[in-house]
Amino acid sequence: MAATLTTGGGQPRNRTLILLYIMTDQSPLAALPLQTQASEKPVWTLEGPPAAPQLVLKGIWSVQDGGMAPFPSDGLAQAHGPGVLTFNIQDVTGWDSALIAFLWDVKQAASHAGLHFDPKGLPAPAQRLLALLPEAPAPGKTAPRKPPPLLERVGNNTLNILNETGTVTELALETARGACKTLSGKSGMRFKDLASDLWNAGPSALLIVGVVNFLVGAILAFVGLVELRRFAAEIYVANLVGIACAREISAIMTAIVMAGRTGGAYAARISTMLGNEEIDALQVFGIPVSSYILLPSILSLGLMMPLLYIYGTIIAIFGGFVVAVSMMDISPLGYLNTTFEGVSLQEFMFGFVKSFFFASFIALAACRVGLQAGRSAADVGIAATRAVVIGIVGVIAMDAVFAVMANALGF
Amino acid sequence: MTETETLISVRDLRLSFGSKIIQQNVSFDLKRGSIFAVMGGSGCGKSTLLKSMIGLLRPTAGQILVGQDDYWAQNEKRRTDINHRFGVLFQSAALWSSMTVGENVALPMEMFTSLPPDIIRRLVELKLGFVGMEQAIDLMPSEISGGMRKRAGLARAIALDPDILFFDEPSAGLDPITSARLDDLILTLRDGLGATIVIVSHELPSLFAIADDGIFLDAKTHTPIAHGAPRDLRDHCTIPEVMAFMNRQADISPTNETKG
Repeated sequence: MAATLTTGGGQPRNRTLILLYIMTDQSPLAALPLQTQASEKPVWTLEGPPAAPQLVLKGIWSVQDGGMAPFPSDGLAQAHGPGVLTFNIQDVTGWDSALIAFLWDVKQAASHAGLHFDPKGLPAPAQRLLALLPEAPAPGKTAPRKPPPLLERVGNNTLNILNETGTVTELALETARGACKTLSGKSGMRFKDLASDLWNAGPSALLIVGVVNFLVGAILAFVGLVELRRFAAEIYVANLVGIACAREISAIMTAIVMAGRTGGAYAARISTMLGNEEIDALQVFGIPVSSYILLPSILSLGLMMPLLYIYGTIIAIFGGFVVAVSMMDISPLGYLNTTFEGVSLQEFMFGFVKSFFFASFIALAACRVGLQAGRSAADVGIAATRAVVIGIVGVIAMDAVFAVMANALGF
Repeated sequence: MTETETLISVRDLRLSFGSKIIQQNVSFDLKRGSIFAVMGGSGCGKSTLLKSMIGLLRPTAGQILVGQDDYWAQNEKRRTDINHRFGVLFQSAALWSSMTVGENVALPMEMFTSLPPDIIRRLVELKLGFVGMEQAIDLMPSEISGGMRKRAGLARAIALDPDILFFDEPSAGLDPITSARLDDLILTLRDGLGATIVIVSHELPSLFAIADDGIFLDAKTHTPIAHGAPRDLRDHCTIPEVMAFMNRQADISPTNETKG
C-alpha cells in the first residue's frame, strides 16, 4: 500500500496524499521505531549488477542500540554510473535517525559514483526526512583564524585602551553632571532606586566588612606582637595596628570586599538589563542611562564606602585590641590610650578620601563593564568576573599612586 | 489497523501556585501520532500545563499517566528516564549560550548515549540538516537570528529521537512564512520520526493546519471548556468563549458563521 502511494520517486507531488494517508492511518513502519526488543545488528550488503546495484538492509537501525553501521565513502566503488541504486529494506525490523544518517552517506556516495539514488524502496517517512537534508553535510570545522602579527596587536590594544579611557571619562563626566543636577533637583534619578542602592551598598554590607576587618586587625596585632616582643616594645602594637589600618589596610580591604560584592552585582544587573533590551527601552524613551542607572549606583557606593571604611577601621583596631589584651599583659586602657595618641586624625582623612575615590572607580568600572557586555547568559558571567577583577586590581594600583603622592606631598 | 494507543493520559489534574488555582479538572488522552493543541487565551495556564507534563512543576492534584506509570509518583531518577522519551522546544528556544549550535544538539547525546564522538558529530549534522541549519553548526546562539534559534532548538529537541515532542509557542515571534515553514517541518518530522506532538499555541492558522486534537483552557473558570481538533472547534463549537477565540473576535456574536 505504501509503495503505490509513494511512487513520486522523491518528488513531492504526492505530498498531501501521503500526508493524509499518514494522518488517518499510521504506517506500519512509522510505528516501528523504538519498539526494539531483540538486539539485531544492522547489516548492509550490495547486490545486483554494477550498473543497477541494490542495497539490501537488515536488522535494527537505532541510535540507542548503537545501530550505526558506517557506510564507507568508497562503498560504491565497484558500481559505476550511469545506473540506478535501489533499496531493499524488507528485513529491517526497526529504525530511527541512525538509518537516515546511513542513507545520507549512501546518497552522497551514489552521487560521487554517478549513480541515480532511487528512494522508492525506502519507507515513506524516511523518504520525507531524506528530502529535508541537503546534498552534502556542512564542511568541517573552519581552521582557527591566525592571530594577527605582534605590531597589529600592540596597535589595536593601544587604540582600545585610549578609546576605553575616553569612554569611561565621558561616563564619569556625564554622571558628575547628573550629580550636579541632582543637587538642583533636576536630574532624572529616581530616589527610590537611590535608596535601595544605598541600602545594598551600605547597611547590608556591614557584617562582611566587619568580619574581614576584625580578622585583619587581629592578624596584624598578632604578627606585630611576635616581632615587637623581641625589643620589649609590645605597646607599639597599638600604633602599628592603628596607623596601618587607618591609612591603608582598612580602606583597601573594604574596597576589595565591595568590589566583589557590589561591583559584581552592578555589572551582572546591567548586563542582564542589556540582554532583556531594558537599556534599549531606556534609550528609545530618551531616558539617559547615566542618570537612571549609573548615578544611583555610583552615588550610593561613593557615599557608603567612606562610611564603611571608618566603621571597618574601628572594627580592625578593636580586633587588634582583643588580640593584644588577651595575649599580652598590656592593660586595655593603655592600649586605647596609645592608639589615640599614635593615630592622628590626618590618617583617617587620608583613608576617607581614598575610599571615596576607590568607590567611584569600582562603581564606574562595574557599570562600564556591564554596559559593554554581550547579551547572553555567558556574557553576564564574564561581565561580573571582569568587573570584580578590574575593581580589585584598580583599587590596589590606585592605592600605590596615592602612597607615592602622599610621600611627595609630605602627608 | 488497531485503535491507536494512548501515550499520555492526564486525569483530573489541578495546577496551582499556592492558593491560586491556575487550572483544575484537566483530563485528556494523548494518542500516538497525533498533534495535540493546548489552546486558550493569555494567562490561562497553557504553559503551566506543559510544565507539569515535562516535569518542571508538580501538580497539586490528579495524575499524569505516561504509558502505565504515574509520572509524578515516580522517583526523580525514574522521571528523568521517562523524560528521555520527551523532546521540548521552549518558547525562546533556550539554547545554552556558552555552547555552539552543534554542541547544543550534541550535549544530550554525549550525556545519555555511549556513541563515539565522530558518530555524534554525524548525527548532529543530520539533525541540523533536518531543520536546514547544517551550515550553522559552529556558530554561537548569539550569532544567529530568532527563527534560526527556534530551528536549532527543534534540532536539539529531536536529538534523542524522542517519542513525544512538546512545543511551547513554536511560532511566537516568527514571520508568517517562517512560521508556515516551521509547521511544515513539524509535520514532516512527526511523520518521519513517528513522534507524537503536544503544541501550546495561540497561532490560529498553524493550529488549524497541523493539530488534529486539542483542549481549550478557560482563564475565567480555570477549567478546560472544550475538547477536540481546532478545525472542528472552529466549525462546530457553540461555546461563546471558544468561538470568539477561534474566530479572532473581541466581541462575542453567536450568529457569525465561519467558512468551512
